[in-house]
Amino acid sequence: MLDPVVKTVDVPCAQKQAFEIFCDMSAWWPLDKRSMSKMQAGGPAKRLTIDAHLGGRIVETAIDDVEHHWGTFTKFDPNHHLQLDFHMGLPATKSGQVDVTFTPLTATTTRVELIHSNWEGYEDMAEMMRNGYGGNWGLLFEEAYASACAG
Amino acid sequence: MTYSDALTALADPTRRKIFESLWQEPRTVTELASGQTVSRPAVSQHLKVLEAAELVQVTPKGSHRLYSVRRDGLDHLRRYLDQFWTDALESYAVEVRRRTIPN
Repeated sequence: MLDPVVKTVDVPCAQKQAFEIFCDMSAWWPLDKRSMSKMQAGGPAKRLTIDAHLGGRIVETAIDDVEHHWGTFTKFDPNHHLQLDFHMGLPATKSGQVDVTFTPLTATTTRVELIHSNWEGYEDMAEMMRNGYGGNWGLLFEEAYASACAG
Repeated sequence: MTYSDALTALADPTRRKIFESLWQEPRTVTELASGQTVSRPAVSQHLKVLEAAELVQVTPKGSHRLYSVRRDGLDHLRRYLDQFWTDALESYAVEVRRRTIPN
């Protein structure tokens, strides 16, 4: 079993709102930085469409109107927990798993933890990625977390 | 190199086999072709794709060309996935703050 990528961020709102804003992904997803369109068509995607319920899909519409299916909700427990088969950029048969939990810390603070796992779903290249040379997942995470909290 | 180039390059099973073979040790096209069921020109084509994705590199060795794995190619891929979620969650946190902090 390979170690998952784990990211945590504390946000200044109640659990319910943290969940709702997360599901309103089209409002905040950084399409200018992170989209298939950016990678393949050279410009930010036009939009992201989120069908936020069990079995719903996340679909990107690229700058050239090509649609990219990123993933499908495999668990949908409102306000608490989300799970996605995630295969952005790959055929749907090669999926990793993205798991997001929302834990209330106080009435107005929620901890959001995102775990990207099931690297086996990406088949053998996953192990090479995880066990390859250089890079330091832990360090990158700590830096990112610190900057997210400092904002 | 982009993440999708690397993933697309490695999504093909034959290319992945070639890549894994080079991961063990650098080899020439002839050596690679002898271990595969595919023809030598096909191996060359696959190597071109892997080279374009910056996953393998070629160095001259006498009259031969020796192919080897670029370790930094995989680092890119690893870093990409990590940074991917960092950027996403950061944007999410910004949106939460935008909606919750009164003007």
